[in-house]
Amino acid sequence: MKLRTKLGLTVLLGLLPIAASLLWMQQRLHRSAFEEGVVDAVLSRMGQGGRARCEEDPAGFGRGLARPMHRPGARFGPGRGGPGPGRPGPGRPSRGPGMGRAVEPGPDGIFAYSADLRPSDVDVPPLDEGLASRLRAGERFAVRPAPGHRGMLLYAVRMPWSEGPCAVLALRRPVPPRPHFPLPLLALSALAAALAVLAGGPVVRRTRRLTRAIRETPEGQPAELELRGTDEVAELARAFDAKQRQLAQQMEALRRRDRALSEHLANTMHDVMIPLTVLEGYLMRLRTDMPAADADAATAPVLASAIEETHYIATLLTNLDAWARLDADEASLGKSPVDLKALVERVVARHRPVARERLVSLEYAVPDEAVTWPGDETLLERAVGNLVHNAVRHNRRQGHVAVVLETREDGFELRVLDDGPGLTPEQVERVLGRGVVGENSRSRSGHGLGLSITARAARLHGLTLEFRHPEEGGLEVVLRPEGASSDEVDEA
Amino acid sequence: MDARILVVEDDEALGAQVVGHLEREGFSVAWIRDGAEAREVDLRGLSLVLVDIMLPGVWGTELVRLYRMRSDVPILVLSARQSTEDKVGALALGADDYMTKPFWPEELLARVRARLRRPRIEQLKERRVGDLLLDLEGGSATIAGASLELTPSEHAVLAALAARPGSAITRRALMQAALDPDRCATERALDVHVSRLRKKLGERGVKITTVWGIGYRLDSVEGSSP
Repeated sequence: MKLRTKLGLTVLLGLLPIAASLLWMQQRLHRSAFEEGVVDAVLSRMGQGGRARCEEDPAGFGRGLARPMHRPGARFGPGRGGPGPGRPGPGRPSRGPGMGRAVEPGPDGIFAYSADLRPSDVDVPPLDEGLASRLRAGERFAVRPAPGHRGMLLYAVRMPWSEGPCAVLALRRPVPPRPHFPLPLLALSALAAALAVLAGGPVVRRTRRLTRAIRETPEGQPAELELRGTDEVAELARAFDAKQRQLAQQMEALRRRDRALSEHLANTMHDVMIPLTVLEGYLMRLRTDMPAADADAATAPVLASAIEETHYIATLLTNLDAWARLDADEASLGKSPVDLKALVERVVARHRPVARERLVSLEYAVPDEAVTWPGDETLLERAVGNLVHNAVRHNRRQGHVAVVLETREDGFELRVLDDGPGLTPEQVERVLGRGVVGENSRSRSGHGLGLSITARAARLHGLTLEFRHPEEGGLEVVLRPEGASSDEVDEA
Repeated sequence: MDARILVVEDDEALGAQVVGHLEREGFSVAWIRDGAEAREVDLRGLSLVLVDIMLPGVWGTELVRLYRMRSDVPILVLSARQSTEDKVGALALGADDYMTKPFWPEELLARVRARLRRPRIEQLKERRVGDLLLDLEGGSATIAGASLELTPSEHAVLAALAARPGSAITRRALMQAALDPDRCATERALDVHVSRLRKKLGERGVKITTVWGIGYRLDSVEGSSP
């Protein structure tokens, strides 16, 4: 709900209970004034000789009194004219609408009672117990709906004297008419709601400007906000401005820290990779210079294992670096055309020495035409490298690994095949599932970290990773653009 | 080989190894350990430059920029920095290749040889592999001077293999390049053609090798002319 609509409705909902309360009070005052008028009229008439007539003939007083009340001009209630007995005067409550009208006597007349509320005559009915209890409690008069007479009220009025049979009079009178509905009050409420809606206009416009300024600000830049003014909107703008500056400082601090960490990581990698490269060189030199006599001796397998372990460490380090890059902001990853032919050739060249030590045949095939795919070259190379690394490392001696890059009408297909023990579908699911990386990465015999990196890198580059399980054994892993058709081909 | 290679590497052990590998391959190698000295080096007569990125005194990428302004000599960057930004940055400044550490010596030598390889003049009319000579226009072939009787499909398969001798060619690529897709472009037909070719070639100069998981490769038999 919009702010102005909500403001108008709030004002209206706030005013309605007040208006209802005022209406209720008006009706109460109106009725109270009417009742007071009736009582005053009774007292006035009784003070003007009514008492004597009543005490002379208490049983016939009501009937006798009732008759003159029917005479034209006779009044037994609040009359017209100036203040006097039976009329509202200074210090009395306002009588409200209808107070100037004559109060007509009821058809059953008036009954008199003694001060202790005993009927003045055997023909007079006992006083209504509800009224009697209130008079006994000390009230000057009491009123209640007349039992059995719809639209009538039953009054009991205690006289200023307490002697004689006419110390209390009971009489029936019609219910006073309802006062007119206070239309001005309703109009006032509607007007207040309309004013609230109008008054909210400037606030709404400033809030909209604030929202637009925030939304239209380019990412990474501070929003230019309107900070003038002393009201709550200006205060909100200033608070937001202060917070965005604080966040910008924190972001800058984080960026500085990230740069420092990246630099530290790069330096550490540099410090580790150089001796590792030297170690690989020494191992290869030993391998090359090994006398033929030692080739079949115990030295050869030890050297082969050393070469393999060194290669494993290098792969692990580059994978950790790749994992850190995958955890970083995706936007920071490179997106330039990657030459997949050159990538395959580099990956195969890097794994050939280890494959040779394991007596695994590692071959590749690329098409004549160029094959490129937009992406981060380092991550893509790691993705393919991990597939080849696993295919070589987990293969049997005298096994085979093939890397095939082929063009397709809807892109390309890069396959890494091996005739090793393969992976069960459950193992594939476990390796690629979330939360198993840490567990698997601790297992040097597992495929965990490498395949997880391959899967994440593939997703980031819009590629699908498919694991095929050929009937003759082994494993075939296929990378292809998302949406490209699968095209299984039996190879040699 | 008469190629002269400059190595700019500050690490003593690694520099000595790289220089040793290159010299054992027959290259003439100069080694500079200091970045400031490398800025002033004369590039004339060099066939290739190997540059480390993280050098004391000067950043390797600065050397790449300076070298490229002064010469067209191929530059191969050696670095432990793995990020794509570093690779793209070095290549954008003029480097021809970027190799991350650690690397095996044979990988380095393969990259060096690839950089030094002269552009091959494409023989459009004929193709020679070892003792095999294919006449691409006439459809004939000879092996060690002797004529080979080949069907058009066999000639096409052999020409497709000879286009990239020593490299594995997929069955799909061979079928697309050599067989009529409307008639007999099946793997079975390809296998039959290869089988017949092997019989006709015998052990004379070249052989067709089956490559597991891929297809076939045409190799020169040792002892034949290159």
